[in-house]
Amino acid sequence: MRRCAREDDPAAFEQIVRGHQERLLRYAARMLGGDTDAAADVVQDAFLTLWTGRHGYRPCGRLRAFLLRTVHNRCLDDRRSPRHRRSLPLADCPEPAAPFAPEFAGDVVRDAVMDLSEPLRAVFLLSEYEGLTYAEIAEALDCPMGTVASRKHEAVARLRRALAPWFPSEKGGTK
Amino acid sequence: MSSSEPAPSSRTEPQTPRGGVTCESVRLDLTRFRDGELDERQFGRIRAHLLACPECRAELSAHETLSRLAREWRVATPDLWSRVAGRLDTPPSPDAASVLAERQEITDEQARIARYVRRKTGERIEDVLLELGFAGAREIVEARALAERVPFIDLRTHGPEAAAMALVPAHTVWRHHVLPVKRDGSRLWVAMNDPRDAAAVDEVERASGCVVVPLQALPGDLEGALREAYGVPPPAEPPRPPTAVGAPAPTPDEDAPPPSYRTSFWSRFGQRVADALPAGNPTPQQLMEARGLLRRAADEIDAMLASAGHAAAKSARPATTDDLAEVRREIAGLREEVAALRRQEHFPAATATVSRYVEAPPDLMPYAPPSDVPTPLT
Repeated sequence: MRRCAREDDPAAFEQIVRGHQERLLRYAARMLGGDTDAAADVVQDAFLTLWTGRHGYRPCGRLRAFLLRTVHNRCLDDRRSPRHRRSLPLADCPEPAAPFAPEFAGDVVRDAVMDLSEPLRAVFLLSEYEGLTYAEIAEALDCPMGTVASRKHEAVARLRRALAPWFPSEKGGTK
Repeated sequence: MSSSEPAPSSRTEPQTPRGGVTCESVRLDLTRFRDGELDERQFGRIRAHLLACPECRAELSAHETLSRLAREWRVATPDLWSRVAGRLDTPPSPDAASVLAERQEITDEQARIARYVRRKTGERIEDVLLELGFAGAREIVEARALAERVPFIDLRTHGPEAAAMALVPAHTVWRHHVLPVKRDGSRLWVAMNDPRDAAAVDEVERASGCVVVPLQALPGDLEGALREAYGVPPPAEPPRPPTAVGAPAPTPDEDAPPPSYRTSFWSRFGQRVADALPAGNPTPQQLMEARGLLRRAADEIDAMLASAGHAAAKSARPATTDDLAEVRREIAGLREEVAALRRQEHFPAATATVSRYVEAPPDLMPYAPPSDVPTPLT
């Protein structure tokens, strides 16, 4: 990033984009309920923000955390915009015909995750899908590590309840 | 979790300490255990408990089931670079300002100001540098050639070869102000004011049947070399208006102002504007303001000089001093100051003016001055 700012070097910036885009796109798409087009817009804006402000960029942590935080905030803005179409609540989803029916599993997981509050969802996505440590998540979301731990625990508990029908032996699940 | 095992999280059962910890405390820490967020001692205690407690192992298994299920939600990750690259605002190649700054012919601050003005006006960086008086025409042209990786030719030391000149008709040479200097097989090296002039390159290639290799020449040198090689331009050739760097110089005329007057005007007065302000000043915005005023005044001067030339003026000359740039003309005994810029204490805070007054010879007094004195620029 220093080289990028010092020399206005698009080639250096390309390395940054290619190195971070997959993780950011995955995170944004899941934060936005699987809307990959909106996610691409969000991530592109985040990169352009970084490029525009490259001369004033002061490294005070990992670039990845900076980008994740930018994308996270833009996802929240996008979710609150009128154009956002909320995904169907879990209650409207079809009951699974059989445990772990592969044709429904992805949609059901998506809706269960989207039913989480944004703070819980963000922690769950970064931990479960992106493999970030609690310290890295805390840096990206600008919150204490203890908060990350409690949010992850709460998110897992809620998802287990929401996905109980998909757990063969959970109470209320499909037997 | 296998289907034969009950789900312990939904049951209320007595918490039996195993391995020194209760099932309740283990389940509180199972998420951190699975995420690798426990220290070695905590990890060891929970691991020992799990080895002894099938209910807590089932709970851990449920966590893993959730993770497997979560992976069913997949999302696409398209490559974004082409989209992002299309919206980057900075050209990757250097410009004349960066070359001049690198050669320490201008300061970094002057390069920054020139780029600011370029962005605001859309003009070429070379013209901005010249008009701000930051560098001379020759230095700027050389810098542009370096920035664009175009070879520079000094026509004062390298004359054209007759074999190259014979390939291009004189009218083409004069129309585009290009000078063929050397032929090398199927390549023709051509000195040009503007090597980016694709129309000129195309026409020379059509006329000569060669592939043109453009060379950057200094406009003044090119004009002189053309006259030396081809004589005077054809009569049908319309006169070209004087412009800044990269444009052909006008035909000399005894009654017209010297071709370089505008350059001289800017290099002297424009530089004075910059010099007159303390270090760190002017801000680009202030300089833009000053430049706008000066530019409008210069246009006024241009118009007046053109008018003077057609009105049998006895004299019409611009002059610059430390604090003043002015143009006076004298027609039939009437001396007229057609334009003047005065640098004032707080210049460029909108104090530059173009003023006009007419001074009649004593024998024609009294004289009523025109009503438009003075005319503020802003």
